[in-house]
Amino acid sequence: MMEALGYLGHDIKISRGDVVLLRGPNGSGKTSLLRSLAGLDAPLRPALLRPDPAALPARALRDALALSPQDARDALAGLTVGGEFRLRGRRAPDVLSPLEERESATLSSGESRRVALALAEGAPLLLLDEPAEGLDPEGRDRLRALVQAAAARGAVVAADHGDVLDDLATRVVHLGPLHPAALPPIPRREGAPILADPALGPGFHALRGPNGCGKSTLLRRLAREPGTRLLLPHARDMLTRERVADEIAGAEDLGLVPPALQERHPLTLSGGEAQRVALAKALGSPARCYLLDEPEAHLDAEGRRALALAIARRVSEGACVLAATHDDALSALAQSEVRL
Amino acid sequence: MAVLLAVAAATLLALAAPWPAAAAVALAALLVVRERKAFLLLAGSTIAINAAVLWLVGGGLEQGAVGGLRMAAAMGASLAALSRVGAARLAEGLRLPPRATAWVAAVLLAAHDVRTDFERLRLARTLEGAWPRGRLARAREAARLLPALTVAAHRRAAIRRDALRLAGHDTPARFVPIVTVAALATAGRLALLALPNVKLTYVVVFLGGLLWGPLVGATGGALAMLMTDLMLSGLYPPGLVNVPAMALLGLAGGALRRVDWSGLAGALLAASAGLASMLLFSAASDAATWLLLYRETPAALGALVLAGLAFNVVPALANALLFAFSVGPCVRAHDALRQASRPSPAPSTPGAPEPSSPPAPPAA
Repeated sequence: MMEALGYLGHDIKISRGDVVLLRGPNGSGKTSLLRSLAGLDAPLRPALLRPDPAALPARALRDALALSPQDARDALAGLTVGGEFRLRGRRAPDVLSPLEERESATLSSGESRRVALALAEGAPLLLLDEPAEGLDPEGRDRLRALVQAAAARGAVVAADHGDVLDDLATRVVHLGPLHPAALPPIPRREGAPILADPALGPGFHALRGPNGCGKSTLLRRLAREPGTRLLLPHARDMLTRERVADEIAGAEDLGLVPPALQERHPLTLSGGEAQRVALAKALGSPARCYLLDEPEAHLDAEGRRALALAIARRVSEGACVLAATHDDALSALAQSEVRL
Repeated sequence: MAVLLAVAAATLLALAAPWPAAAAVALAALLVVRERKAFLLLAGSTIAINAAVLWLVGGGLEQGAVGGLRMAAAMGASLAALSRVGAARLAEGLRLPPRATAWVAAVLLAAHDVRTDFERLRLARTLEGAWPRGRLARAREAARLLPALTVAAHRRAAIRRDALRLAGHDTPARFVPIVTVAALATAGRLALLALPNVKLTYVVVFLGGLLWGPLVGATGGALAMLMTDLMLSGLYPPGLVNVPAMALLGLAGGALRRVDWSGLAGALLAASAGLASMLLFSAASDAATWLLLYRETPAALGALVLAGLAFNVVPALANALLFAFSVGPCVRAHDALRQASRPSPAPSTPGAPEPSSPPAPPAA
């Protein structure tokens, strides 16, 4: 395994058995740090690892580490699942044999995650970017088992906002200040149903269920009704302009997007920053019903607090907010739960 | 591999004699799962146009019809295989060297992403209430998405480069822009097959040269045409004339990098480039068809080229409009992202990271 060097004046030595968690607010550089560790971006400071991954030939890099990006599909480079492994000079594991003939481009998110994690298996250094995002409890258990196995044969560095990997961590590295912020209450409302099926009136409602049970499909179906606004599960899908200010025109006072982001190009935002902009876009215009698909994705504590405040504001105006979520804390604020 | 051999055999048989060609067209019509109507329309019009042109120049109705039949058979064999097996699995079946597979995979995956990005952008516009109802208005709005698609495709190509590096394959310096151009052109050509009057490939390849230089435009254009020609017309040689012709278009875009494409003058210039590229392309393609199928009838050359030009007047006008509406905005969008992506001297991380509890165990 590579020998670790210091980072920004502090020694963060990555040793066998380590599970290092990277923590920090949105835009603090967690993804950039992981990409630098993987040698994909220029290092933030000279040579985080020795030998410098950016200077390694690709084949040596492949043998030294594996990176599982935020979007698992970004890890795929082959034409088919079998081809992915052939490109790396390996055979697909038996557990993936049902997928072996499938085209990489047609894999679902969950299937892509399975393939990406199988590709990463065996690497001495495993880099994970928000690996628990969007996983149901069963998926989280599988992730924990993977991290334990990876740490037994090497080391793991993971950027994560949640608490799924907390008890496995041997060290936590803070990239900037984190202000633990309790979620504010969301008022309860009574009134005639705004949605017919499921019948939901004004107020905040949680939509829950395991991965693949049809939460997103239900939200998309409901979004066809007039007077609804939909937040898509991938924030970047909502962003179509060249300036953040143009994306969120009229929604500045929701407090979701810091003023410092307003002049940025949407494609230069981090995952959490993009999520804030997409939320402002979805919650920014008046509507009778807001349909939010995993609104807490990639958000830090401050962002989650801003999200809860924005939802509370829309609810107090008499709107119905239905959020598909795996987040227990956010669900606890809901006045009702729809389970699929 | 077996499917590829079957396609090659069908194409060669179709080129050798008319009856196998007719059988190949009939079989293809049965095997093509989607777009069966479009294929039959394309086959019918190809046979009819070739027969009419050869009859007009005295070459004989039958000779033209047989030529058209062979063209349709070659296309049909490939389309049937694509429809049943899919481009990715077909390419995988070739068992190319890893470096070549990596390029093909990067283009096909990025082309798939382009289609997905278009759908996502369309959905985002719909959610904003900005997606119009009428067909013409929708076409105009779709053309307006090209700058955003170009920017997104560049990002997707960079992702493919990173994935390949992590998979153990280094890529050349111009990999990202070449894959961007090839993916946009491939996706555009395949998506608009059923709309023969709209050719997105031309403006994409021209823009490739304009934004990233002549080498990128030419290579990206040639790669896209080679891959889509093999997908659409298999081993049929006239199709491959597209490859050098599209490379020339990329070079032309590269030669015009210093032109100011803003304002009305820029739009008019872009429209002229679109018109000229389509007509030149048409003439080159028809000349290649003549060379392969009708070279015993010299008069057919002029007739084929003239018929092709007449046939391509509407697409040329559509191309001119597409160039006029797209070139300036795409250049602006590209510049805006380049400005925004300039690396800042320090990361946004406030302060130094501090390792905290629990302390690390000793190194093994």
